Parts: sequence; structure tokens; C-alpha cells
Amino acid sequence: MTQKGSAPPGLRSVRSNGAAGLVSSEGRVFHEVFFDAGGLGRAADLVAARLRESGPDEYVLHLLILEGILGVSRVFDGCTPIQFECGMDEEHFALSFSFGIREFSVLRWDGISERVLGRKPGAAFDELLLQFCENSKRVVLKCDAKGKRIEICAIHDWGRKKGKDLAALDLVLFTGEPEAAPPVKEVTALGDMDYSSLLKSRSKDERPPVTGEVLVHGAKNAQEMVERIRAKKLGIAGSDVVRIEASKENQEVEEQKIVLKASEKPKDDRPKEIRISKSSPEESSKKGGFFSRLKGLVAGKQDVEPTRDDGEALAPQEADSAARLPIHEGGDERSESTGGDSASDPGRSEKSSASSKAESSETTGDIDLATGQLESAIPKDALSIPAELQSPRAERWVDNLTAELNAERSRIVELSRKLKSSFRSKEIEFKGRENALQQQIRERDETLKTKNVQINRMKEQLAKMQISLERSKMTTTTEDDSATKHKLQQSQKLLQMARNESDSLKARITELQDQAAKANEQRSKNTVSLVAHQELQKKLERQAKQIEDLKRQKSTNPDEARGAEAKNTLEAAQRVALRQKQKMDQLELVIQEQKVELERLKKEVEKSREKDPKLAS
Amino acid sequence: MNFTRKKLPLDRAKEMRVCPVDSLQACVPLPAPLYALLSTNQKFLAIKAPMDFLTEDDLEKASKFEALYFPPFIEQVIPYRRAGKSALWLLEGLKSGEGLRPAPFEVSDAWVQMTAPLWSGEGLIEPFFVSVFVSEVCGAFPGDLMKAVHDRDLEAYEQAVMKSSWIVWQALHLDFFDLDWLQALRRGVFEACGMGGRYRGPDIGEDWIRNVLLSEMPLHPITLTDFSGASVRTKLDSRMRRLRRELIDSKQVLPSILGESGFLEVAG
Repeated sequence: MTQKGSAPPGLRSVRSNGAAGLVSSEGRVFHEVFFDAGGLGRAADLVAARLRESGPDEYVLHLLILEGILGVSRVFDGCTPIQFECGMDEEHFALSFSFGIREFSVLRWDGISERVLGRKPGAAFDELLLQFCENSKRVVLKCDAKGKRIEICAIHDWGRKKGKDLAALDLVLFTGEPEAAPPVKEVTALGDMDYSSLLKSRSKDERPPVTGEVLVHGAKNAQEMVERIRAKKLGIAGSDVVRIEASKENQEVEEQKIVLKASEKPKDDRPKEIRISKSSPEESSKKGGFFSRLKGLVAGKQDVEPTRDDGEALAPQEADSAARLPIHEGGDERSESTGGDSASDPGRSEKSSASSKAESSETTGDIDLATGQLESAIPKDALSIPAELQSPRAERWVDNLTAELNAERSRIVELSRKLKSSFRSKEIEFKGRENALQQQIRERDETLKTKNVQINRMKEQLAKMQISLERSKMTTTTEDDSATKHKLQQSQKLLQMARNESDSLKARITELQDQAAKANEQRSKNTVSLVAHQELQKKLERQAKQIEDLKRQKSTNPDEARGAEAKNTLEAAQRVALRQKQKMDQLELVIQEQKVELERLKKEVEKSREKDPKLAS
Repeated sequence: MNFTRKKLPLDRAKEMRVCPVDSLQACVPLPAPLYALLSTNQKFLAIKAPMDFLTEDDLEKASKFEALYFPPFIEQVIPYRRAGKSALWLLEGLKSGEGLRPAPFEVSDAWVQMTAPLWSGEGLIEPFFVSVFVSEVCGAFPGDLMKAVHDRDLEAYEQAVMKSSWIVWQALHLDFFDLDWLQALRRGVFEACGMGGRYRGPDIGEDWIRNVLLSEMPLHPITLTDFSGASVRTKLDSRMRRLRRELIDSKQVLPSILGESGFLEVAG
């Protein structure tokens, strides 16, 4: 009985909210939200009216809807709104009542099926479920502990439930989120239904009682009154059938008029009236048979005067237009063709009168010549006509006429059949075209809509960009105030001062650089003298070596001449060496002086760089 | 809300609509930018953006002006405000319980017929106009809450106003016709969106709430089924189909906050 997730057999989905999962994909779902019991009865009436064609047990339907809303409101205080759904398909209908509760845990879920199906309800909620089980084929109880929602679904077959067996109770516990409801053919809010016509449909079939109704309105005289009473007895509406009115002036029948009205409303909204002029029975009998006489009466051009419904003669223009009506024209033609011959050839006149009758019935469309109503208008001598019709000639004529009529009828039937089939094929063709066109329109609408959405998005993006642009502009423009200007001026002044200072420093640096260049030049010169000094030193060293060699030779060769010569050479060399040594000492002093000068210049350059770091870079 | 044309020249005076200061209420979202006339500068200066609100202090400061002004855009908002007032009248009538109450389906039908002129011919509506409508129906939020959300994050405040209005708009189309319940729903969404934290309003389906809270409400037009949950989408779709089929005039032009007639000018 208790299930977790799987749908009971025959149901599409129980893991979704609402009644859509309980009916087939071809089913329909109607929904409404109830915050209280206001208008509940009328809502139940509307649901019943909508479901009436399928033949539900209306008593049970009302009971379940009322019990669902009122019972839930009674058992769970403050559970509103109750979301009501009614699903229906070919097999059954399902009612669903979904509502939220504050405390989910207070309900006794354990053994709820046993208590309900054992008819031992332990709480008000159990009693409510028992009520549903007693009146349904199946009850599904959906419990969403996370969302704190309960949904009671009652499923019922069409027709009356037999017996008092309890329905099966399926308990579905939602462990996660409910599934999306499976699709159905139609989902409609009760408010979107044509509720006025649905609720009216029942009363339309039942004709209201006529008790207390006024019998006759506005009859001008006794005869008219009698006719109206008769018409009322027959249940004939005066506007739909033949109405016979007789007007009397000065207590004498001057003229009788037959007012013929087609069931379809004439275009000019005026009843087509034929005024039959007063004629004596003798004159009538001279004109031949009843039909020809009647036609003669109807068709006599001089005798026919169009009048209004109230018997008043029409104005000349109106009379002209009325005379142009088909019924009058037909009558005129017939009177011209048959009027003269009717007396000489009674058979022919009868035939022509009969054919004219057929023609007249054709031209008048749905005119119901209710003979009972015509009685009063027919002259009394016309009752002798049936005797004439019993002659063999008349019978032959009638047979021929019947055969002709039958042939004509079958031809018309065949034509109408063909017309119907062609109409149907055309209709199908047009419907197909219409569907194709509608599909095209729908597709175009869709593309148009998507494009519109894209355009709107782009517009929005543009707007945002523009706003940001404006914002940035605003930030820049706010800096153009006096304080900023003052600051700028000060900065410019400072910059000028710095520039001046840097110019002076630059001049100083150039001067120093010139001095340094001079010093370097001198140093390079000194370097040249140093090289010469080194050469001289080397020369001196060589000469010293030569002297040493000569001394060694002297010690080994005691030749005096050579000794004197060597002595002279030695003295000369010693003199040269002494001179060179003096020169070298002088050069060393100059170098020392130059070094000191260079150090001084370097220090000065360092100092100036420390003063202005920009110059250093 | 960010908007263009924060300053207007004096020659626009012939287009501006007067709004007496005493007609303004504190902590009610404004339906259009609100301008003050600076006589020395010869300009109209926007003092409040649309959807922004005036505090008590603002009203006191504004009282030194003779009047404040709305741009011509306010004309586009007026039908939504009027419809909102009618809807409020309908809901209050149901609440009061005086006389013979209409059946729920009659109220539902009346609602749809009443709001049909607010949709564009294509069945679209801009969330801004929905917020104007719902403000009329549900009234103002508590001032403290408005200020707290506004001061916390301006963008979140605007989103909260639009999202809370949108969900009420959808709920009304699903026949939830109870003013207290709708106000609780609106406040729940506004708080959850503006202040963060969990939604604490009435239960209407988790997927629906989640979709509304987690999405960003756009300024461009949307249709009824947008930002809804799977549980209600079919019902909303069915209602929208009826609106399109029977009630919406296909030639109806959509009022917009974008473009020249709106307050967000779009280049090009």
C-alpha cells in the first residue's frame, strides 16, 4: 500500500504534484486556488458542468470537491491556500487537493493505511481519508516532508460507484523534489472556461413553466384572438410559421390577408404579406379548382397590395419594393399564365395550379402551410374540391406529377450529395491550407519574437554602456572646479621653478664636465709623459746593467785605456741617469697634482648629482 | 536605477508633469525619475532615480520646493498604476467579505480581463512596469527594510523590487487572490533577495522560488512563463495562451523604459 516513488498501476506519475500524472496524456486538467470556502459551491457546479458530458456521478463529484476543500480546512487550520486540480480522461477523473502544513511531524504516518482501511480512524485526518476512500476508486496521498506539503488525490471512474468497498490508499513519500508534471492535452484555469455558458446549458434545455403567462397579447378582434390561442396551444411561435390574420372593418370582412413568414429572417425585416382581396364564392368556383383558385387569389395583380404587418397599407415606394419581392413576382407570373385558361380547361388548370403550388412552396422557402391554420382563410365552397380529384384523369395526372416530383427529388438529392462531397473536399483543402498558413504565421511570430528579444537585449546592453560612459564623463567633469585650477597653477609654478633650478644645475654640470674634460686631457698628456718616464727608467736600468757589466769586465781585464774610457762612459751615463731621475721626479709631482685636482672635480660632480636626482638620471 | 538625462534644460518645462510634494509618500518606490527645478541654474535636476524612494528626511528637504516634477514618461506608467488600483479594489473586496462574493473562477476571469491591456501585442511586459503595478496592489514595504536593503546594495535592492513584484504578478495569474498572502510572498522574496539568506515566505514551490531568486531580472520585456518553476509553467502557459487568443490586442504597443520615450536612452 505504501509506496515510495513508483506509480500505482494505471497512473502515469505520482511523483509529480497535481492531477496531470493521474490521467492519460490525452487528458485535461482544470485548476483553481481556494483561500476559503467562498464560491466553493459554484466552483463545484462549474466542474460538474464541465464534466457532465462524460457522465460522472455528480453527487460524488460535489461531495468530493466540498469534502476536499472544507474537510482539509477543518482538519488543518491555516493550511490555505488549497490548490485544487481536476483531471479527466476517457477512463476516469481525478481530484487533487494540495496544501501546506506547518507541522509535518504531528501527523501519525505509521499505520495510516491500516487505520483507514480498517475503518478505525485515529484522528481527524484519518476520518477525512476514510471519507475519500469510501467515495473513490483509488486514493493517492502524496507527502512532501521537505516542502511540508500534503496532496490528497481521489480517483473515480465515470458513472456511479457500485457497492461501498473502500478504495485502495497509496501513500507516496517524496524523498527529493517533486518531478515535473507530465504533459496533458489541456491545462485550464476554471476562470478561463466559458463558465457562463457552461452553467447556463442545463437551464437552457428545460423550458420554463408557462404557469401565469398571459394567454394572448394585443389581439385586435375575436378571430385574431382565436387564432392566437390555437397557435399557442400548438406551441407555434408566431414569427416562425404561417400566421393568419383577418381584419374587419365595420363588422364585415373586406379583405383577408395571409401573412407568410419564412423561418429565416427576411433581409428587409418586413414580413412578406399577401393580401387576399375579398371575392365571392361564386367567382372563386368559376376560376377552376381549389389550387388554381387559391393561386388566382394569391396572384391577381390588381388584388395584391402589399401591407405592413399591422394591416396598414404601405407607401407607394414601399409598395413597389414589396411588389418586387420574389413571392409577389412569382404570383404575378403565375396569374398571367394560368388566369385565362383555367375556366376552359379544368384539368390543365388543376395541373397548373398544382405546379404553381409547388412553385409557390419553392419560392416561399420553409413556409409551413399548416392546413389547420388555413381553414379559416379557405372559402367554404372549396370543400367540394376533393370530389373533383377522384376522377381517373385527375388520378393519372396526380400519378404523373408524383413520378415527375420523385425524379426531380432524386435529381436534387443526387445534386445535393455531390455538392456536399465537393464542399467537404473543399473544406478539407481549405482547412489544410489554413493550418499550413497558421503554422507559417506561428513560425514567423516565433522568429519575430526571438528577434525582438535579441533587439531588446542589445538595447539594454547599449543603455548600460551609455550609462557607464556618462558616469565616466561625469567623473571627469567634476574635476573642473576652482580648487583644481588653483592646484594646477601651483603645480605649474613649482614645475617652472624646478625647471629653472634644473637649468642652472645643467649649466653647472656642463661647466664641471668641461673642467673634467680638461683634466682628462691633461691626464692623458701625463699618461704620455709617464710612458716616456717608464722608457727612461728602462733605459736607466739597461745602462746600470751595462755599468755593472763594465765593472765586471774591469775586474777581469786590467787594461787601463779601456779603464779610462769606460770610466768616462760611466760618468756620462751616470749624469744622464741623474738628469733623467730629476725629470722623473718632476713628472711625478705633476701627476700627484693632477690626481688631487681630479678627485676634487669628482667630488663636486657627486655633490651636484645628489642635489638634483633628475640630473643623475 | 541608473538612468540617462539626469539634468534637463529649462525649455523642457512644457513637457514636465507637476508632482506636489505633499502627494509623495515615504518609502514607496518611485515610478519615474523625480526632478527638482533649480532656478539659479535654470535646469531640472534629478533628485531621485526611478524605483528609488524618498525617506522622511528627503521629504522634509523637498518641502522647500514648491513642487517636484516627473518627465513625460510618467504618462506610460499611469495605466499600470490605475490597473493596480483596480486590482487592489478587487482583492480588498474579496477580503472584506461584504455582500455576495464572486466565485473564485469569476475573480480569476475578471483579473485576466483587467490586466490584458497591460500586455504588449506580443504578450510581453517589462519587469519595471510590473513592479509599478504590484507596488499599487501590495503597498509599500516597511521603511526600515527598504532602507536596509537599499543601503546594503543598490543593485540588489532594484533586483529585489523587480523579483518580488514579478513573483506576485505570476501568482496573481495563477489565481492566488489573497492580499495578505501576496504581501507575505512579496516580502519574503524581497528580504531573501535584498538581504540574502533563506526565503521565509509562504510555500509556493521550491523550484519556482529558486528560479526567481537565482536569476537576474532583466530590464527588457519578458513573458509570463519566464522565471517560473516547472510546477507552474504549464498553468502560466495556458493562461498566456488564453490572453493572446482572446484578450490581448495584437496591435497593442508596448510601453518601454528604453528609448526616447523611456528614461534609459539607447544610442543608435
